[in-house]
Amino acid sequence: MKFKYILSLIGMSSLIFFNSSCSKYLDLKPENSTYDEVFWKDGENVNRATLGAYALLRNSLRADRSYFIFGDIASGIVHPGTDDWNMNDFSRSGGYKFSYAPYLEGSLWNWTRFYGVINQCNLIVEQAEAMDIKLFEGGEEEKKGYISNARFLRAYTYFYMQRVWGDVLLVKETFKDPQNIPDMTRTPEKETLAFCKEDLLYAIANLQQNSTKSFASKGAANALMAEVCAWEHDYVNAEKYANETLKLGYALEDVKDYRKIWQGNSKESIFELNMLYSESGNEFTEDFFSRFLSSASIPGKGSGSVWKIESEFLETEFDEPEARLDSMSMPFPDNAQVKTIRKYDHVVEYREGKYAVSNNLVLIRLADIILLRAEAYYKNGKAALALNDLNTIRKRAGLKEIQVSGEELFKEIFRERRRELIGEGVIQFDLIRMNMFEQLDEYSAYYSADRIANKGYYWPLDMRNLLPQNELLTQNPWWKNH
Amino acid sequence: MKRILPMITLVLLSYFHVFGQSIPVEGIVRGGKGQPLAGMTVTERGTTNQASTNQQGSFTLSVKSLPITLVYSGVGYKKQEVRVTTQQAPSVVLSSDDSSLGEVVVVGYQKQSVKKTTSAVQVISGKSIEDLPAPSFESLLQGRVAGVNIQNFTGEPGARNTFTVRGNTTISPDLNSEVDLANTMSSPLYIIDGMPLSVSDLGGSSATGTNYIAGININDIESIVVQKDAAATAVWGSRGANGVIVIKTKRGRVGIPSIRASYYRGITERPQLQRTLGGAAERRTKMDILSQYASWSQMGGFTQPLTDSLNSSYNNATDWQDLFYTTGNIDNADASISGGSESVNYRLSAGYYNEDGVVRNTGFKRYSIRGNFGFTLSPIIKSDFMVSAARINRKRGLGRGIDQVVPVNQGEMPSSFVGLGQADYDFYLGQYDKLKDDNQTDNINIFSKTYVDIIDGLQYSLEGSVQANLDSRNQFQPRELNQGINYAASTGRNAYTYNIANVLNYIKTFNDKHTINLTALQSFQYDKQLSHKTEGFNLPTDDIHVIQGVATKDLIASTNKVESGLLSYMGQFSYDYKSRYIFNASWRADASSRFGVNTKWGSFPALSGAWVISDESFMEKFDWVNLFKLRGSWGRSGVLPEDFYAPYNVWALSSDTYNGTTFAVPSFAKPLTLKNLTWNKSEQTNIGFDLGLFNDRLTVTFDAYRKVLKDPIMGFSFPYYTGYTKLSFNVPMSVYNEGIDLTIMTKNLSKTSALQWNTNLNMTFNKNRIGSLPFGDRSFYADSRGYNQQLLYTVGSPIYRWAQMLYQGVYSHQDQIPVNPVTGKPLTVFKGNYPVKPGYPIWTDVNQDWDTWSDEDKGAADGDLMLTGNPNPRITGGLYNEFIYKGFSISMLNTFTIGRDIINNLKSNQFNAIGGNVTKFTNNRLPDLEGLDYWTPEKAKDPNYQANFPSISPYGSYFYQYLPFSTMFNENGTYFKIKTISVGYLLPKHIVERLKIGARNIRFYGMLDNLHTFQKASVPDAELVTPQGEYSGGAYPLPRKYTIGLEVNF
Repeated sequence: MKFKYILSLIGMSSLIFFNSSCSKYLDLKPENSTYDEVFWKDGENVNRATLGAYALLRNSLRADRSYFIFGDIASGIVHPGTDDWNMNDFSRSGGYKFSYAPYLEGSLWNWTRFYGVINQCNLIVEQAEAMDIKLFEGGEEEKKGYISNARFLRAYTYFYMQRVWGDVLLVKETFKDPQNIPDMTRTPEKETLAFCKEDLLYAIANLQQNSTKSFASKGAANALMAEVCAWEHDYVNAEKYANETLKLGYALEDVKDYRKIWQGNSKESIFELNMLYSESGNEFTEDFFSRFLSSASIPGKGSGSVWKIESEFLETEFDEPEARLDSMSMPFPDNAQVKTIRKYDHVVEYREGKYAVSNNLVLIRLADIILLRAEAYYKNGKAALALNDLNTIRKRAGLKEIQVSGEELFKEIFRERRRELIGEGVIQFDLIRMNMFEQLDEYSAYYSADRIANKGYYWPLDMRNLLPQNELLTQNPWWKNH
Repeated sequence: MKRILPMITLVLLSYFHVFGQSIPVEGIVRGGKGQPLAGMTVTERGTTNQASTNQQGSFTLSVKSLPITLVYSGVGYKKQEVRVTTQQAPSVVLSSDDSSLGEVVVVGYQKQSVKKTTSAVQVISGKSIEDLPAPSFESLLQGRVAGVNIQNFTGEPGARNTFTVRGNTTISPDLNSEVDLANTMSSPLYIIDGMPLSVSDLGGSSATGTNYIAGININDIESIVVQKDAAATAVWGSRGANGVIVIKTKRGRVGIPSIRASYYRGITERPQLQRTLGGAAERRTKMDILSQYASWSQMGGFTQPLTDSLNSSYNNATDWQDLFYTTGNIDNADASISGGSESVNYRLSAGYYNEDGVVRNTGFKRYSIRGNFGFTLSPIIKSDFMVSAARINRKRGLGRGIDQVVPVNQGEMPSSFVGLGQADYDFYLGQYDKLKDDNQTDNINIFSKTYVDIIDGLQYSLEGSVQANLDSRNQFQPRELNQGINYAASTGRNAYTYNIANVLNYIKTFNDKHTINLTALQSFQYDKQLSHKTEGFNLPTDDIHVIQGVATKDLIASTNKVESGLLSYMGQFSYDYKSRYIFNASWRADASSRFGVNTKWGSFPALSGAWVISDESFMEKFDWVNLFKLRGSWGRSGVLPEDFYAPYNVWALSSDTYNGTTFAVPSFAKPLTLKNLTWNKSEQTNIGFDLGLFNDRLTVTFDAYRKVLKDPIMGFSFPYYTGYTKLSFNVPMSVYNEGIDLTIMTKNLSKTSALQWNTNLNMTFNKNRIGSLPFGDRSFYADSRGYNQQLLYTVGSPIYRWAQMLYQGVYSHQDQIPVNPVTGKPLTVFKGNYPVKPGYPIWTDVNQDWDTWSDEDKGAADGDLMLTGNPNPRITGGLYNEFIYKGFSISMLNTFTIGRDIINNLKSNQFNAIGGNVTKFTNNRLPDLEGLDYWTPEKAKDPNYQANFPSISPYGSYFYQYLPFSTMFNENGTYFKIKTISVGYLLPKHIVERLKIGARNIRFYGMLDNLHTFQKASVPDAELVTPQGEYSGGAYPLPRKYTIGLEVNF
């Protein structure tokens, strides 16, 4: 009998031992990563998330070099190399046929990556808002700083998407119930831009003017606000916010130092994304900016991959000699007639035969805003001020001042934008905003009145991949049957 | 570990307790011819108190009181019950029983005789796969078990192939990121001597990519039980849904030590290579083709390698395949010693297996040792103790994945004209010879189980085990092979699994009619995996092959740790009335740390019953029916997610920075997930029967099943405007697998015949279909591996089915080309870019828009895609025949797969590689043109001419027409294989005795493996395609193996 007693004791004790220790092993939490439940616990992590939002935006713009395709290739002033045969159809030579983009559908027709940025910003806004001020070392100011950065980036992203694809799906907050995501229809431009402006007003009110251009600042928020207003043709406010921006101490680089603009924290830069080379961190790329560069900058680079200034454009628009052109372009090896853009030519050989381009992607800079103010002045009936701004830019470029007026002045502002901002990913949006398609021969042949009316200047959406996720999504009207 | 150690100590301690008093009962067991029978089991009825007979057939069993009833049983003999009243039991003669009904199978934690089993299980004896040349036993089950689909998609020694029990339920979230294609199909849970081993848990982040199952020496296996239906798998709860394979290794038997030694050696044959034309023949054929298509002006533009046959750079006949494939050796040696006394029995074994790969620098080597011990500590306490260790060294060749076992893309293999210089040989062969890749896995397993008989019929047992799988891989690449940058890496992972279980078992027979068996179990499993990876670039010199002297910026290091716990309770109840009406029920509850906080628990019930009709009195007149049993079962089981932290939304923090500071973003590599993740519900219903006729000369086992998988955890496409593209959750969808398993065994000649001929035919019909999909059954597309054809998931269609354009031949003449009556324009291809001309493929214009293409830009059309091939086989099975005559035996195993679609991607890529322009045509190798009547303008001058293949003109329009987005290269994947032929010869006794080496018997044997495949497909081997049916040409070939061997028993 005794041994049964011992046995049951062993059994019982092992059972008890078992249960008490097991429950601990059933609530195992990851030790190899941080996760939602514990992430939003201090300012430092909110900062990391904010940096994450910048990194996501950086990746989104760099994807397949879409930033330059949308802004430059599609506006016909930059010509893709022969390696990029798949860009022929939507470049100038193909008549801007955006509906044929083999192997690039995932970036040019698909906006999914930008929603990663939006979600990140929404998360920061909501989570930081809910966090106690005590969790931030810098208190209220630090907390508002993160929220402002997130709201600035959210506004930038939506405004960018709106300019590339037209009406977006406006997601204002994170989805709380992942198992119940409603289908969405595309939001009218007015509503999206109103949302952007609301974000920017918050950012203007809460951001400081800082010296690091790779983060949002009061100046960046004002400048972006000016761009949004101009896009809506609200030129009164565009003028107002452009003026606000210009008060904040930016200055044009001398044309001798023109390329400093893209080397980080230039006095002319208002907002840029950091892509400088450093040994760690993987912020640089080998193959984003390098499309503009020939073997003159990167030894051994094949000529087929090099993008050039569109030759006809070069000939007609740079008819006068100018210091700016000399500073920002260089002749193609073996063919001096052809010119490449060298705005981003700060190259570092970081490993034998491996070249990193160490430049920043400047998204907004002073010259851009001065020309935008010129545009606004013109539209607001202040032609003299407009001409003055235009000549400021011409002067820096080493061109003589001009005297034009009326329609010609407006057109000249656009032409100056093209000369000044080529290779900076924005010209297509200027074309749309300033409605230049019918004004200039190089576009009017391909942009019929019908195409413009049906917004054929926006890119088509990859319905095959996007529609199954959202049955209420509609294709851009022009690309429904072109 | 701290928690686990005391548990193990507890187990070990229990050995040292000695209890109680007993009465020894002795007896002797003989066979029909009066010979003593060794290894028979004698059990006190209604208890688990057992003893085995020794070489003299005698046994001693300690009992608590007399009288008792003893049950005598043994494999191959009819069970007998004898009432024993004295300490000397009467001598018992057991008659042999050729049926397998006496065999015992373990279902969950209960032992059941095959006769009383109510579930669909199949027992494979270790004997039937002994000495077969394979690194691992699973591939040897191919063609031997109904309900199991084994396809060898790679012949790489030591790699894991697919092993699906009753159909696939796994949908790979992204085939292109899958490192191991075996993961794209569901795989079963393995229980090895009581220790559960999940290959999917271990496979997920393995450092060596080696198949852990291959750590078991095949010749150590006593039996393999394949448990298919829910009655058997539900007792494994949240892990059993994909079937359970129970492996038992050989134990020692009471008696004088017996020694077995065996050795075999053989070769793996260099595989059949792709047919190719070389040298002059290639030039002639190419010139001939060109001249059929080229205009006068184009004739002048032939490229130099074609025309300049005297140039030494171009007049070669290099067979590129020759460089990489080779013939290898197989060696296997193993020895075991076993024996035992009343108080202890043992079996010790050691084995060595070495197989050279047929691709350079690949191969598999295993050293294994195992010790199985049984202790009788007192009449009521017994203990089993097992320890095994294996070391696996697997050479991985290039180690670049399944499609890249050689360094030249098979689809774009260069023309034979190009000569290879010494530098080329150095480069290509150096990829094998100069790379260092030491890839090693150690398995160590310790298991202990102690049984205590508390009262009559009631037994308590405590089980504990530790399994350790230790991986390590050290690599080095010299500068010349890696663009001037040398590289070294060290990767490792230690995976530990600890198990402990308390089991109470009660068995009782009332009035000799009612038998009940009750089992209660509580168990806990804890898994821990620790891994590390260090990589260094730019080592100071190529003489250093490890990470030494590397600058900080060139160093990358990471470590990882994951843990998981599983707590389970299980109850099993079985009842039978005179072994005629049998009822079983079980219920299991599992809580896993891998599920959400409030959704950890899952419960898994099962019910099953059987009726042995042949035992009914009304069946007596049908005396030719010796067994007829009806079975039925229903139950639930599940699958654990591979991700140990499935319900956590993880943030990715890498060393990447923004503006110099590391940043955080949600981990997009791991989909967004939900906190309420729980086990998926898999329900299975099975009905079947077992039939034995004419004294078991014909036996039939039949099962029909329906397995429904519901709510699997998977990463499912998620609306992009949330910021995520995948959501991992219990997707409200269902996948059905319905089918029939059939096994027919016959003894074709009479029992008294000197020649015996036995046949076993087994086959499985399985139909896989998606029953429902989330979001209102919305269909969705996925990419195939290599982005060749689309996969379309839609209700009613199976997993991994393709969507392609339908290819229907060639437009041979202008008048065959359809013209749009509205516009008057001919049909076009590729979004209107190419008006159709003679020589173009006929693709069906499904959407009737007068253009044939795989997608459309206008709106959301699928283009002309339609559901086409299904890579899931309709029927799989095997046919086994054996002939035994005196000492000779010969057997042949055939395996077959019927009703499967495959794609010859290799051919497709080869045509693609020569399409479009003359340079490509010249520089790439020609595909096999045998039997192809490709369209040419010359042939088309005959108005009755009909081509069977489109134009292959390099001057014609090139619109990717040869890529597999149309059905042009779909083929019939049906095959019938002569898988294995084995021959054996047992030396006659008198010769063995005359040798005077003390041997009891000596056997010679030989095996031919993978002998021949009968197939319609043009691929080298219709089995050698991915689980999704593609043959890319880069897969590791299935070699033919020949071995001869010798086995000696002392």
